[in-house]
Amino acid sequence: MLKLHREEANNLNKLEAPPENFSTAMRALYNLVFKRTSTYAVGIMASVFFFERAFDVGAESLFEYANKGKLWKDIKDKYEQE
Amino acid sequence: MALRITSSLLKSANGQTLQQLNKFSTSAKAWSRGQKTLAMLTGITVGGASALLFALESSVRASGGEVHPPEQPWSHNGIIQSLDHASIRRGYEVYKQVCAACHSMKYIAYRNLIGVSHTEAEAKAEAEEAMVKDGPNDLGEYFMRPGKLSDYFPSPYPNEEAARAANNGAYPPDLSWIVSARKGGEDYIFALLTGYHDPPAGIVLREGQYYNPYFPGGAIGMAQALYNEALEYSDGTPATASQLAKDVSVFLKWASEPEWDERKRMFIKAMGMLSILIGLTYYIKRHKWSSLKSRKISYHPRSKSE
Repeated sequence: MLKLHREEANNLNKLEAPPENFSTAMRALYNLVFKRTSTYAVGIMASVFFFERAFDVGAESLFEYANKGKLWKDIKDKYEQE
Repeated sequence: MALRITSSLLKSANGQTLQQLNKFSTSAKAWSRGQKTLAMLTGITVGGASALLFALESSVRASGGEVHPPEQPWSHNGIIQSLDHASIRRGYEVYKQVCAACHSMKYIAYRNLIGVSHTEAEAKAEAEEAMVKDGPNDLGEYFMRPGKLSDYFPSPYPNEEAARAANNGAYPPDLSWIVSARKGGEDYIFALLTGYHDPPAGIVLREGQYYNPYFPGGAIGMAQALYNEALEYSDGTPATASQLAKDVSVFLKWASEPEWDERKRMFIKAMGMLSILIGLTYYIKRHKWSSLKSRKISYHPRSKSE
């Protein structure tokens, strides 16, 4: 009984090692970020910040590319004083 | 011990799970007779109902004497196309110098123009041109003052009765949301403004009525308002009658749907996000099913001699 318990605990520990087929970079990323819930959560929050910024800028530039010359920002130079 | 109990609790009933999962499998599988009948009946009902609705709608469209407005190639047609803001600005000039003589736009304020067709300084100057009734002051009297950014566009008549009395009983409708309020939208506005001509033989118009085939009934209380060179655009665009009509249609489109551009932005973002999610969903489905789809169950009967 006790032996089984220890075996299972060992197996759980093994799960925390990065999978064999990971490259060196992936292994480093795994050990640094994905392995612990604490770093994983921080990683999610940080990547959300960058992803959202990039996504919004990308969507906005697609909109402005499709509507070049029609938007207020394209014509406002003609009317702004100073 | 604890591990054992939890692991046995977490163990799923495989036979039942497989049966449930089978319903969600994407691999080809035969439909049962009942399922086929149900699908067929659903198809017939939905198809029949749509055909009936389409036929009813078409017959309604064919009734009545008015001409349906042709669809114009607006630059804001299309799934990510914004409104043309230079056109909105010219359209405001047309509204202010022509339409505003009879039509109110009492739900649009001068502040709404900022960042759409005018700068803040310009919108302030536009507002100050209008005199607005305010009060009461500390003597209890109402007084006139120059408009502020927060003021709404002034109405030409104090109330509907005054408007009717001045226009042979016809009420010039408020133009704030007219594009959303008329079938055909901006196509209808454009067709109406450019569609005036002499009444055909047999149509008798009363005094103060004009003939316009796009107006339901044909007899409209509004005279043709837009002619070539009816006004001069501040940006130098040639002011032909159709250019005036086009610009004021775009302006009224903006007034009715000021969130138009924002909606197009949100569409791009929503579609981008959903396409990422659908890719993820597909991957996770394949991932979760990989073990179920690749497993084999073998049956080794115990031989009698054993």
